[in-house]
Amino acid sequence: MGIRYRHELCDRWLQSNATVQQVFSELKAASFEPEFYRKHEGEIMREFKGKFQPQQVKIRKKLFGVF
Amino acid sequence: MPIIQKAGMALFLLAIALLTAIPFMGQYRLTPQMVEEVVTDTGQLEYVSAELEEMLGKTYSSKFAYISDLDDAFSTSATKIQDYNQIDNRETEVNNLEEYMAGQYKFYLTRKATTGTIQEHTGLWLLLTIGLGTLGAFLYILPKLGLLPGIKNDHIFHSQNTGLGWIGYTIGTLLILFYVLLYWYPEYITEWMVLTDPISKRISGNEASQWFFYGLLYTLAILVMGVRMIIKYRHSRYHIIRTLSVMFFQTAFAFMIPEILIRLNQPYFDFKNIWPLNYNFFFDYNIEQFTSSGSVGLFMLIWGILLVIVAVPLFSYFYGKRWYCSWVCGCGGLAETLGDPYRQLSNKSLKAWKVERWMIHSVLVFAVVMTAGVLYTYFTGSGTFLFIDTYTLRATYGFLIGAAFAGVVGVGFYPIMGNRVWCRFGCPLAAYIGIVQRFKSRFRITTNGGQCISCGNCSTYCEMGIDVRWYAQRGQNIVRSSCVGCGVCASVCPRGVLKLENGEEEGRFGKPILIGNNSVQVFSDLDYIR
Repeated sequence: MGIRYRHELCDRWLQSNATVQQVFSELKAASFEPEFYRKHEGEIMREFKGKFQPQQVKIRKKLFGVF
Repeated sequence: MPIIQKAGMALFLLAIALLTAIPFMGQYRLTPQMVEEVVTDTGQLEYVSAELEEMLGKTYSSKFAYISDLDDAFSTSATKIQDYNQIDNRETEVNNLEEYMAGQYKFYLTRKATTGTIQEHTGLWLLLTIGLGTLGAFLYILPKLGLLPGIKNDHIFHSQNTGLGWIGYTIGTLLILFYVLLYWYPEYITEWMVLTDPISKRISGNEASQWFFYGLLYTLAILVMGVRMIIKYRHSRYHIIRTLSVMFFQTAFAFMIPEILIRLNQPYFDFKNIWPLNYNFFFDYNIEQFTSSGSVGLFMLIWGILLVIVAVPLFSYFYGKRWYCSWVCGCGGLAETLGDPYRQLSNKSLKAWKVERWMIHSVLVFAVVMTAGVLYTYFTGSGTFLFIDTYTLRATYGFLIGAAFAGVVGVGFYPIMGNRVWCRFGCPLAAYIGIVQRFKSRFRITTNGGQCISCGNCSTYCEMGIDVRWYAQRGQNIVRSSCVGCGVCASVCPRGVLKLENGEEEGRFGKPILIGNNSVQVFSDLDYIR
């Protein structure tokens, strides 16, 4: 099965014409994968950076941010 | 079905047939030493051994004949003791032979007198029944690893076993029969206890009681069916970890640790069994045992109280009911493993929900009043509380809720009303945690936008009978006191719409909201429904 994201967040990104930077900074919060599943957000971001060398992507860090 | 699975099923059925036959295969020989060991009251012993004279040294091959003779002997001695106590100028008083005590004597006299092939070749019979059954079950279960991962519930309602067919009703009837024998007629299953003697002696050093036999079977059921559960849901780490958790808590906490405590001359205690599910925690004999066993006993008493007043609210606040009901609890453990094939049989009607709320909260009130009465008697010495005899109160609770509801109905009705009958309608602890979950918790199941396709898998496989689809269709979070957080609704969803979450309390209930491609938001004007 593919990756699950929160419909509500995706919808907001589309409605507000969010930039890639914005999307990436919120990507972790958008994950809708079940608990204990492996998360792919880090991998996605690394892959994207490697391919497109985009402008600096800032990721909001959470303290002890597991979820 | 591959040939290896057929062979496994055949071996399993053979083992069950042998296990069923074993209680009819014993012989019974009573010796004077046994009578002296069992009947400890010397006054009663005189009367009882006089009446048992004819039975001594005689070998019975029929259990019914043996128990009937035993019954006769005890009722005659009881009458004779009563008659003696009527005499005016008697020398001494003999304690009356109460019915409960006579029942205990008769049970132990049967237990000790049991001989025959089971006694002589215990190891062989153990292998042929429990050993062979476990082997057969694994031969049936393990080949399923060859299938692709992912839940397959094909033809679940066409099956005679899982779709209310004759196999299901037969299993239900056998389970009910088993529990009736276990709770009220243990003298008829003494051979099963003899069968598990070698294991019991290794662990606790004692002969096996009916509870040891039951505990062993229960733990094996959770372990074997736990392996099945893990294979069935092996694409989901949530289910793998959760199932390993219930397997661990049953094996270590419910089965091994209490037996080891007995070996170390400490009180028997299951550290994860919480009042009011563990309804006899505050009974006088328990409190006395705790307070007379030094620091270990005192620790157990404090631990048990802390579980009720600190652990339950705290963990339920952070993780919801699931931390206990589908991760730790023994009843939940059996329901999640042995009962998994029957989860779709729970009733989803509104009426069932109404009945459930009345029933489970009544049991909670009953448990609280009963315990209050027992403690009142313990501290004041007065036998009546709110005009009720506390001993009758606790005996009634033990009979109606502890044995009949939790055991006979709770497990016996798996193939008829689903695997969580007890947890849903009767467990007072589930009622207590449910109240915490409903009103003060971070747990909820979230619905992802408007992606529900109304297939109904979530509601079908909800063992607690929650109509999950109703929430998913309108995009509302699922917050229900009964939800045990097993996570199966989320796993069977073909679109991954549901997710079990612990999050901020703010906005936990959520508004019914559907997010479509144009962000058309359908707000319900029936907000009062939540």
